[in-house]
Amino acid sequence: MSQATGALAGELEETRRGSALVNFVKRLFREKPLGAVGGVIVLVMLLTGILADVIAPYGYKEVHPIDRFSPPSTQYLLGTDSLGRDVLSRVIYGARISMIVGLAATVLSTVVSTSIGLTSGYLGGKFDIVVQRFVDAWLCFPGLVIYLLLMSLIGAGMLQMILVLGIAGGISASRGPRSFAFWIKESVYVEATKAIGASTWRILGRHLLPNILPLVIVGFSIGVGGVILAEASLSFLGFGIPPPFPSWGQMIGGPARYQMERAPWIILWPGVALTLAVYGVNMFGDAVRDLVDPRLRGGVGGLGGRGMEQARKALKNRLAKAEKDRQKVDIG
Amino acid sequence: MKKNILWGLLSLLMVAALVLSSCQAATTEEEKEGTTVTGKVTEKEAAAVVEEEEEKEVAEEEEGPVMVKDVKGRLVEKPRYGGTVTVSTGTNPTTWDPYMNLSGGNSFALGSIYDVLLGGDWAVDRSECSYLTKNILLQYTRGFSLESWENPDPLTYIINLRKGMHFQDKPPVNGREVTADDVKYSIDRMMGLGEFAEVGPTPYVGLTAWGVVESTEVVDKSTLIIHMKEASPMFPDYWGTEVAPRIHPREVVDQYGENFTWEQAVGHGPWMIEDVVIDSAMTFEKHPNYYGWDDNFPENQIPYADRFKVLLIQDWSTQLAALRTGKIDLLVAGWEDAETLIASEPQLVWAKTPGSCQVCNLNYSMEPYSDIRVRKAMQMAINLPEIAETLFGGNGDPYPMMASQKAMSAYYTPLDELPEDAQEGFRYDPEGAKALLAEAGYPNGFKAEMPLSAQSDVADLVIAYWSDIGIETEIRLMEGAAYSSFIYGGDHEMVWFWSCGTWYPTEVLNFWYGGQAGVPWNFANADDPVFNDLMDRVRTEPDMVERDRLMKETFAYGTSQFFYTAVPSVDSYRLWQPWLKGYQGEIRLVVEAEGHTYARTWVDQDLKYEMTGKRD
Amino acid sequence: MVAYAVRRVLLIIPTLLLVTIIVFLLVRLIPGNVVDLLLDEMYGLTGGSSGGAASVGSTGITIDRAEIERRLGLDIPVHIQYGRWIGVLRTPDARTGELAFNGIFQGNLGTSIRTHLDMTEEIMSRFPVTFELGLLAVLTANLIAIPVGIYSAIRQDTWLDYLGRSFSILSLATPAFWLATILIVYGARYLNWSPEVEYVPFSENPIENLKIMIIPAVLVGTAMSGGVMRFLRTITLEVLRQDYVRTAWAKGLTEKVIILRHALRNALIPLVTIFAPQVGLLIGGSVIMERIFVLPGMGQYMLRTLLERDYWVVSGANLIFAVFTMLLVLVTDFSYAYLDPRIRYK
Repeated sequence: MSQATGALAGELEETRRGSALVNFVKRLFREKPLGAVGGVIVLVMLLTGILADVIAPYGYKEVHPIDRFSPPSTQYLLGTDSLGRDVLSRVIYGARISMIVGLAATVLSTVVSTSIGLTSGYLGGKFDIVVQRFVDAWLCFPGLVIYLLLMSLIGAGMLQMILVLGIAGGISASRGPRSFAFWIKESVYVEATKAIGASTWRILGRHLLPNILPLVIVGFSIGVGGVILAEASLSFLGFGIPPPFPSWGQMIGGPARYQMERAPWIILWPGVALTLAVYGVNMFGDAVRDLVDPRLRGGVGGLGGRGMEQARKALKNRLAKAEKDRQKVDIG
Repeated sequence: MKKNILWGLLSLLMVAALVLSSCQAATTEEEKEGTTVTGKVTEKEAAAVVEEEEEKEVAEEEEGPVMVKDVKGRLVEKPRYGGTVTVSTGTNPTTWDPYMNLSGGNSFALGSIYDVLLGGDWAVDRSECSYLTKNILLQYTRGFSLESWENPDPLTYIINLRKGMHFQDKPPVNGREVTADDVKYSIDRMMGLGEFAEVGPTPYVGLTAWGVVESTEVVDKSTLIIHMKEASPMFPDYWGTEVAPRIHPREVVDQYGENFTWEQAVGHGPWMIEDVVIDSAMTFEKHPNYYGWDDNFPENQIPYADRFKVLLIQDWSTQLAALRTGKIDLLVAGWEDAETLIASEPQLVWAKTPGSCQVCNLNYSMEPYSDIRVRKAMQMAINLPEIAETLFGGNGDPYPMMASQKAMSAYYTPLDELPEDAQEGFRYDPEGAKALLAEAGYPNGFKAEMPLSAQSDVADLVIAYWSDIGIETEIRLMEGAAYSSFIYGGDHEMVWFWSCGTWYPTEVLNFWYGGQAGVPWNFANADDPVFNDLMDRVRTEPDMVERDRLMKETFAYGTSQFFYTAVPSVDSYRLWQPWLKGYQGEIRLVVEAEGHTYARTWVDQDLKYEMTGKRD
Repeated sequence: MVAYAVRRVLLIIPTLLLVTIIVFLLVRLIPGNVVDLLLDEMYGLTGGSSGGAASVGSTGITIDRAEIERRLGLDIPVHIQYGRWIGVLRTPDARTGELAFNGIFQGNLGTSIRTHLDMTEEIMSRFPVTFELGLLAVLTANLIAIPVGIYSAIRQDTWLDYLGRSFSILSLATPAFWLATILIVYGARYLNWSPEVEYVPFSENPIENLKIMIIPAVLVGTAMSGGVMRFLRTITLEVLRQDYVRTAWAKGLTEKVIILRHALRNALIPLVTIFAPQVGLLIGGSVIMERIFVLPGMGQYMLRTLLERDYWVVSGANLIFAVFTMLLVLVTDFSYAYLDPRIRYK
């Protein structure tokens, strides 16, 4: 038995050699095909957003009123909208908007949630009580009301959307890092660190932060998906990024909705793009978590996927091999 | 052990939920299928029935629908009683007390249960007066609650009320007769006259046109005298087709105070409130003792239908779908949706209503818009025929000239009759526009800001045109209330709103050009002495012919001064199901009172049942 | 545990107080005054819809803005308005002018600026609609998520795992209103189906009511299932990696027993902790579905009244929402406390 476990551990060692990033990518493709698909989608989206000016055949606000509502053709690959703007180009530029808003808002929200959550959770006591009252008060407002109030104050636009989604999302999400801080505060090694006199900042920075990083990374990738969807919903209700910026949400939430019968391609393609992007981001995030989360290692998880089945099969093989080896030794 | 029980219960619950939901889903599926099949099959049959009917109409046979001659000798289908008329709206009723009618969206609520003095004549030939616009000329009206009126001198109007009108049979009024006292009460209460002199007029309702009334006097049960402060030749226009106090009984206000609820409201209009669910629906039932009659068949008491339902549906796609499936009888739609609907639902009946045009009011008190060359350039940059052709599909007028040609032809001046430099402005000429801008001191254009409360294709297109001549416009998207506060604040560079088209001409003139500063809707902050003078003359001219000529002159002048940037007008459509009969798309018969129109339409319940398998 | 519970409940009070102050102030601070909005609608200028009933005569009585403000109770300073609304300051009666306490503490949530009616009744009729939608959606979500999530954890990286998770995440990724629009547009065109446009309450006719609710509930529920599925999968994966599972496995127990008796039970319990937030998310969140499927619910109500700047209603509705959310947060916190002995015994 121990021999088998040892052999399994050996296999594990193999996979740990080499650069972390390359290994990670290798593991991703080998063990988490769905996550790999997601990763590819995310990469494509990022590249599309960055290279939009190069890829897009037309400008995003270039109107051709004469060609309005043209079905997909060689001239306009995905058709045109109610003002004759090329749908493909707008979808491509939409990737840029979604990417910018998604990343920026999620970064902001992560920074906000971790700083509030970690400090509140770690420091505890009166500080925690007071801060938590504000956080609770914040939770008491339906998300939409908050967005609306903030947007009425600071107007509508890309920057405002980022601020609103980032800060609002961050505050709502701060309970996660806070409970994490509670948990780790009680852990033995943090107590030990405190015992030797490390300052609060050092503990926060050196111990809490790196440990929460895996969760943060996972939360991040999923958060981007959430932001993209939130922007779409806000656009539906009329509070999104104002025209002519082609955000996907605005394309599917705006007047194009009831032009569907005439020209379904106008809301079809942005919708597909949006769905794929959010799907990709989520699957990628899930896969990252599977591979990286310390709580998911150990036991039978460390072998990467296929759980008990694989383990049992591997064990059988090892045992069989061990038998053969022993026989060889005996014979030989 | 305990955990086991808990676990067992949980799983039982889950299983139960699963079973239940799948059962429901199954029945729903079946029922839906049933309706689908019936719907599809009978639609074909219905089309055949309609065809047959049309043939019969031509052949003038007595089989199928019963055809009779109406009061003017026209051959129409004989109206029948019963059924429900169902329409949709996007706003909730806010009050049932005419005094508190703060927002304009109470046309279904107040307009259905209350009556006014005068309204449109239903029997008028639609080719003469189509009621497809909002302005009804006085000659096409007939007395509603009033029977006749006299104007012995410019400061006196004698109103002879109709006898035998009764309020709805609800406490505390209990169906008593309507008298001149009630009319006096209603006017006094709204305008702060007589017993209400101390309280003052209602601050809520825009009855400013009635401000010329000095006092009201009851002579006898059915005669009322209105004394005027000054002569106002247009005053009778304000008795029912423009703005008017609605006749309501004092008992309700005395008992319940102002702003009584729908359960308490009583009027003597064609409909009585049956039920109101905010954000859902208003249901009215017919007032059995309504004095009104169908002008086409004077012996027929109206309403024809038993019920009138107004559903609140916010989402446009849902409204469209509801019309297709017959859940609502009528819909007002833009030309694009209308064309799609007409193409795919051939059974629908429709009428095209001449449209309003959107104008962009530039703030003259601000640079650079104070310079007429800049305003002219901004108009020249826009390719009006292209917009009319593409964005509006040819459904409208590329050159509305402030007065829509279709709706207000008497005041419309065609492009080639304007002075030459005005004509220049309306021809698409981006190069000329750029030159003009340079002349005015902006060779490289300038930056502009456009506030909007909703996304608009027209705005996007105009911005694109302006961008071609160097004007870079940023859209400032604001939500409703913020937008309202902003545009009434005076800091805006430009404001879009609807103009011309279907309104009464003086309304139009007043709306975009408040004339004097301080009027809240003077978005342009305009103060042109020539225009002011013209407007004053229009208001005080007693001779209708001369007044019309003056108005035409005013419109022409305003157009050539480029008071605003015009965009072509666009027509809209009204579409309805074929079982809603007697209806020809009329918009307004009585001021803000849709209920009166629908009281004169009738529902062919047999046809509806054939087409949808549903009965009301 | 009891001490913790009591302390936790008491802490709600300052939160709620904070909420009332914030919402009261914020609604007034944001641009957009209710009187401007009402006047705008009355003039009907910028809406272009039915148009207003205003015309200027020669000697006109212009709309008295100040008078409207006075009647709406908006001409007094904000803190006094707040005091009256809460019920610590006296309000003069509209008709008689008598002063009396008439606020939250007296059980009066406030009246709508628009309809001048007491909003308690309106909220009471709307709350069940949203709650029902939320409940059905949560049920749907869990019905899908539980089997998919657990299966994905047990049979990690099998084809069914991929399929199930893909479906779940795809439904999360697809904007619900996009799907709903496609459904409605093509449903009406080709299948002669459209959503019911007259709402029937459950108490009136349960079958009709469920027919109306089922499509929006399923749409929202499947979208939600993604999150729940992921949560459950993670929890189950964690549980499966626990030492005691490995021990059971080493003991020689069959897979079925391990899963059913040990893993599953421990995985499902934390599900309760996210049950509450799920419902909470839905209480204020289904605005879009309510709008598309014509359901007179809380989400739509709160949005509309906020857009209409109906100050009292917004404040009152948010207070109700806040109370409800706080209750849910309490439930969540208590379940965490129950599960984690460290907090319990503090």
